[in-house]
Amino acid sequence: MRNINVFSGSSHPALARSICQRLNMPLAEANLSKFANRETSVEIKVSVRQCDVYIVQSACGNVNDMLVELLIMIHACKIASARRIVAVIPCFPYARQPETPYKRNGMPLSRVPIEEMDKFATVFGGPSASAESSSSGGRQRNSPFPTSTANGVPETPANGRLDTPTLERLRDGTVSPTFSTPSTSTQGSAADIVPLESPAESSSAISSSSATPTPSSVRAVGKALPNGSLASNRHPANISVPHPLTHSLGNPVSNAAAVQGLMSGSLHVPGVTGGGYKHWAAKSGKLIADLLGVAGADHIITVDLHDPHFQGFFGVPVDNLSVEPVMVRYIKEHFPDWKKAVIVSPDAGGAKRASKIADRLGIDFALIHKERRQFAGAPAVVDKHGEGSHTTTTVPVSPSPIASPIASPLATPLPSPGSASTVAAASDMLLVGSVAGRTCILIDDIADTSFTITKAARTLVSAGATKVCAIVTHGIMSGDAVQRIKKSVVDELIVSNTVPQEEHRKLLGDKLKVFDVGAVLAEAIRRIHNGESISLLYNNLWALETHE
Amino acid sequence: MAQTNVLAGHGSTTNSIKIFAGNSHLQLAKLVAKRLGLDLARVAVLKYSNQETSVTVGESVRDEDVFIIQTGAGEINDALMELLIMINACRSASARRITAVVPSYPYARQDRKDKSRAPITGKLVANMLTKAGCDHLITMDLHASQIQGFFDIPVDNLFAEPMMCKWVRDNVPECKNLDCIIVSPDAGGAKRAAAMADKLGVDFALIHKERKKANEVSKMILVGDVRGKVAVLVDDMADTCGTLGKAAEVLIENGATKVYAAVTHGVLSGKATSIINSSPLTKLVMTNSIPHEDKALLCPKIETIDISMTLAEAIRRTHNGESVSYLFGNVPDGMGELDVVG
Repeated sequence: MRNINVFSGSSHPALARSICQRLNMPLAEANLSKFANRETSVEIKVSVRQCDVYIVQSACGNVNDMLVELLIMIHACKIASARRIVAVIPCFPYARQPETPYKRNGMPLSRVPIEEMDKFATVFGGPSASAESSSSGGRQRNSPFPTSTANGVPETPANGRLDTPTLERLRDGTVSPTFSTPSTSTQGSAADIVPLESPAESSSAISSSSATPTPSSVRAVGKALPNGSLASNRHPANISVPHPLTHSLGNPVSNAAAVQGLMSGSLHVPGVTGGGYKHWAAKSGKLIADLLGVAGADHIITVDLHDPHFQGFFGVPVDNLSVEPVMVRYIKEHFPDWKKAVIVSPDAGGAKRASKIADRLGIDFALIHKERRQFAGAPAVVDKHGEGSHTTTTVPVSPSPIASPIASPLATPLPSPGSASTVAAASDMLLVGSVAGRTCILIDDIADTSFTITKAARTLVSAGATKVCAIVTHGIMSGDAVQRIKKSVVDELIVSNTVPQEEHRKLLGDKLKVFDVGAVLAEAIRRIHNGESISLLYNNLWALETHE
Repeated sequence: MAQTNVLAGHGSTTNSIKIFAGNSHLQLAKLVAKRLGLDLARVAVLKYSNQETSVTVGESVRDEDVFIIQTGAGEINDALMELLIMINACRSASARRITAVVPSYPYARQDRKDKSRAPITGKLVANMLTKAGCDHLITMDLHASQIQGFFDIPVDNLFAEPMMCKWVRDNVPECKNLDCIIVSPDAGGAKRAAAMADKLGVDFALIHKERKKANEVSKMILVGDVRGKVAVLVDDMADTCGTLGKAAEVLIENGATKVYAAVTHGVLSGKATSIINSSPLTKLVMTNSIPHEDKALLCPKIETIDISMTLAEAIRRTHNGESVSYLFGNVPDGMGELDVVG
């Protein structure tokens, strides 16, 4: 092939090399690094004038770094007069609203170290002691959600009750997360986040338990709240806030958990949230599509895009390759009893995908459905896609730290033990179909926190499955997902190499199997470059060989 | 500030200022908001476990005048993505106008194609900001003011010069009896240094790197006379501070009594603080366009000039539709020094 250059970004050079090997050409040289001030530096070492350029970059590791690097590479090739620039992004960034995993106290998991949290802009502008907030009524001073800083803005109409069943349960201790460090591997040696308390107030409380500093990510709110006083009965903000470290499991949790849950969009309080504005998380899919277009990409190749409607966000052609034929072939080759197996979708959203594979193989299909009904004493599970638009009330589901001595008898993470919710959580996954005595193959596109897969596996095992395997296209497995998989009842996890898997393999050993999508991508690149049709790649009868 | 009686540009009803802050410089944002008498708008900018940025907006911005304060510092790519996502979120939430306040513009140094296949990342950032939905950009001391031309939207390139001049007048007593000299540490900054020298009414000198053969260390040559004078090095950015440190040595060798450095953007990456500490510099003055409290702890020579009043004035004037040109030549009178600890 002439006039073609395949570059690799720094996210997944192994896959790029595999692609180039199949194309029988060398990887084009580029120097990728960072300047001293952390700006990305890109130097393209070969001429790309009038060439077709393919840049392979996958969304893993630090996604923002990877994305900016990709954009700069595209831009560099564009102004170096490349003829056409194709971005090959096997795992697409910001393709969905990720399920926000939660720490014990309800705060969304983030990479921010504890010490930095108080510098965060997570705060509500905060009811300063100024007259501004008081003009909206005395209630506002104590509310964690003062109405907007511009006075005179009418409050959004709301229900009378501020205390919802959810908040009440949090307060009463029916649901009581504990606290763990961000690393989640050691048990609560420091408070994660200590919302609703100013450091001064909490430091006295800390001294009894730990010396670590307690940042307040909601500090401004904390200052306004009298700690411990109950000025008005029903207002959640006036609940006394125990220091997280001083209470063990089962004690009332700070309603800061609810506050943070609200901020993160996971905890939806029907009606009023103390001020009326319903927080929402920004979905950046369209923005990423625009950025790629503006940088100069002429074509996008991706694999198993989470939401196929994404293709419409772009102004350029998008080839959304499918690994389905590869999965089907893998199942036939590696499962001796595949004819009697059951394909299971771990949630309702993936039913279509899983059922297609089941049809191709001609075997049975089952589905696991997350119960979202609110029933007494049990919290519903967080919506996988984090859509706050659901009117169900959800509660942040806190993951148990792996090494926790108070870990529930179940190995997989569930809402904290010691509450009725433990039992409720397992039973609120409904299995539709029968799996008793059969091998189950879970099919999903993304395994990020692996809550879905592990919870589904638990449900299948308690419904009588003999073996549970999971085939996932993108094995992102961030945070402590790998440990979660290790401790779960999943017998085998099969992922593609759209995301580098060496680190995961070290921890999971034989439990993890990787199949190569380099062949599919290489074939797509070859055909696109030669101007041939790639519809054969979607044909289920023809699947490229997989390397283990 | 929250309620203005001046009818804003478009739309017939008055709207209010909403200030969003990203994670790159929350402290500066708080200062700016304080100067304006406002609270920061409610937003949570965090990361999901897979490192994707998550922006949760906590208050309505429909038809409001939104200002997003984010500087290119720390993890610059994260800061850039946070800014873009916040702009995009406000755009899709029907804000009337979105202004990005970026005191230190990211990737400003990649502003031209000086070798084959070099990306003009400054232009790419401009494209991305515009595409995300930014309507206006406020920045300070762009590395090259031509970067304003990369944008199709209006750009306000504020100057730190008035504040630097004020600092020199207040803190370098030799300035009054003209025993002071402004020096540019490289040829590229000559114009900037000369302008400041004119303003202060003092002399001007320049240090120039002599490019010898490839393996030889280039010598720094002083053009001008600094004997018996207090020298003030002026530059827009202090990154690794190699140039600054060497320039200070050259000036002392050539007879300067004391050497100060006044720099707008203090990046101070790598070993910069130890280079400054071991150099003959008396003081290094920087604006707080980039947060550097941790560096200031390591280097007692660092002094900070607060730009929050200038930014707050720019925001106020932009919102009210007043002229900003006052800020190009004057330091706005503020409430005095605010507690810089955020």
